[in-house]
Amino acid sequence: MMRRPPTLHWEAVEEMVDGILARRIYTNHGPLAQALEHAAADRHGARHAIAVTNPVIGLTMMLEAAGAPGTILVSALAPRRCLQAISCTGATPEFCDVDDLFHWRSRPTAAHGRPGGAILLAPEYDGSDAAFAASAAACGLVCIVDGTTLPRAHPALAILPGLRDGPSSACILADDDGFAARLRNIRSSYGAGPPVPVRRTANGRLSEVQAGLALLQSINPVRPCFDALPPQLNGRPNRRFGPAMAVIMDGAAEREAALAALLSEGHPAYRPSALPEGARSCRNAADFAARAILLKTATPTDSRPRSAFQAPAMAG
Amino acid sequence: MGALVPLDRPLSTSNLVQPSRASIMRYARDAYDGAPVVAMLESRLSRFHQTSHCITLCSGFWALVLAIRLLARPGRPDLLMPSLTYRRMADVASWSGLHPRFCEVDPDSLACSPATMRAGFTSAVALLLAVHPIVGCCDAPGLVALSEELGCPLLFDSVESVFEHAGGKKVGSFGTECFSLHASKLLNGFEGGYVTTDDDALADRLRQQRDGAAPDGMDVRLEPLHAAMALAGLDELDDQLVRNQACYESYRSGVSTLSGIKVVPFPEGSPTSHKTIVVELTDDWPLSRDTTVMRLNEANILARAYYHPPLHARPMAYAHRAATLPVTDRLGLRFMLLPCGHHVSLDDVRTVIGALRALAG
Repeated sequence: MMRRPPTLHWEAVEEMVDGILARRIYTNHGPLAQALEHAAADRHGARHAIAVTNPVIGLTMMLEAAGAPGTILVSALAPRRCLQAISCTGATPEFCDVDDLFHWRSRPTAAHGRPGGAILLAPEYDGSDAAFAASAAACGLVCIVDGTTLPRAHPALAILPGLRDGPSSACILADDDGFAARLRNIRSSYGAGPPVPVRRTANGRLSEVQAGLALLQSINPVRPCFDALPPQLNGRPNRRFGPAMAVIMDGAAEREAALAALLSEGHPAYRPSALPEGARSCRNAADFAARAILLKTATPTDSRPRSAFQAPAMAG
Repeated sequence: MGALVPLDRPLSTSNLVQPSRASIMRYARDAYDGAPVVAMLESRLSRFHQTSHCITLCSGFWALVLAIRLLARPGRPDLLMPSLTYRRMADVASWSGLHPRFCEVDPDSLACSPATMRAGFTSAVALLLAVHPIVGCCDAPGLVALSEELGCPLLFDSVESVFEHAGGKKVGSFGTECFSLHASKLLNGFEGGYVTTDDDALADRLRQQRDGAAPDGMDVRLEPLHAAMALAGLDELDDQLVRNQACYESYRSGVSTLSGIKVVPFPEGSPTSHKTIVVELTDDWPLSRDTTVMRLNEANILARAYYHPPLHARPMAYAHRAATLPVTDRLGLRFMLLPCGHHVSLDDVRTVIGALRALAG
């Protein structure tokens, strides 16, 4: 049902660490961090890529660079890190419901386009698409995107692999020069770019080891895959939900019964998180939270041959 | 006096300690194999600091922010801190939802003291943030007593005092304290930070926040390979302390032959790391501190001004309490850091002394 996760060979990790020890550059935007940013910018067709230590700090920095407006529109189905980033900046989330198919398709209205307003999209969770993002931008909202599935028009966060089940790092993708310059200064970049005024810095640096781990694994946007549903879930409505597959049951009671059965058979199934307090009036999102079963998926093996890790050439 | 001859390689003030490859790879392999190296590091650090709990995080910066948020007294807007300290400390206050309020430091210790914090305290202060200086440490027992007297929570920033002792007790054991595992610190974990505390409830809440489980938390866990590096450093700490002391004694000996400059002494009679070399330029020194730093930097001797400009003198785009701090202003022009650390040899120290002698004329 699930394919094997990609393999990170010890020999490659050892070689990567040896390179760091030989160069004696451990952090502060070293050669591996720079190589990661170039690779990510190349891969995603972005003008700028700013590597950061983890996704929630990355989202926090993006909101800060966007001016951290007082209220930020976010789907009731957005992942927890989106809400945590909003909270961290001191902004207030304005939760929006999804439609009957559990996608965020209702267009933001001009009323939402308050001066300096922003919207935080998480298309792999809230089902927002490129047309929706364009509508939001047309309303005057600054769009920040958690994920890389939307076309490259808005700042986006790519989550990068770490070590096994360890924490992930991330890369912010942006085309706007001013936005990227602010991000680098918020991150604390040690000369990565010219100093520009920012309201406050946030220490989002990633180390050479974190950059090396991301480079050794795939920075391609490999979508989690799922071969087949367990038989008792066949024919049920389903959709991708972050790293999981969400299967929609007829009701809460049926969900609980099916979940118990799946767990007894050893399937990696679980419930969606409870909606945040401010989102509990979002009827369709609450319905999703009550009826959905989430099944863990696995990132497929990257079939491209991985050459032995090469330390990037040092300048000078 | 002529220009200094640039060195072939830069001499940094950052520690950048690198344990043995064998030790690093042993722990790195453990991390790769899924061993709980982060938990191992937390256990060892809590024993090292003689405290009940150690909670690691992705950086010292976010360790401070999360700890402040949990400790600060609700309903009060200000965070009291010294101005002569880490350049991003005011940003830490802002991220914690508080307004930075600044106090003086003691001119002998360069640290905030019970007297200076008492003088800066008002009923608007939600937390006392006592920052240990780069050399020596604060009067931690006195600050704990002050905190109890004022009924105001206390948090130590102990980033620069990992191995120090105060009042016969180890730094890290005075309530709740924050540390960094940045490569420039005594323990090089590439990046990272940790909080020590004896407060069981606070430790639980911090872990929930750190793991991203709490709605207002953040997943800011430490990378396992960072823990591996720090564990290797802990194993070889004694070797580092011996090297640091030799470097310090060499500077003391060399600087003593110059006029107008003196090494800020580490306290004698209690264990100390001798990690960073700070010197004071007195009125007899022929150049300003900033000119001295510039001239040394031109020669690839990467001396740095000591916490300059102080925080109260920096522009801030968020709410803060303006302060007039004449002692800090005066001290802020006199001190600088000299090259030290893992990659600075005793020959390099002699080279730096020679450069200072040339500048002295």
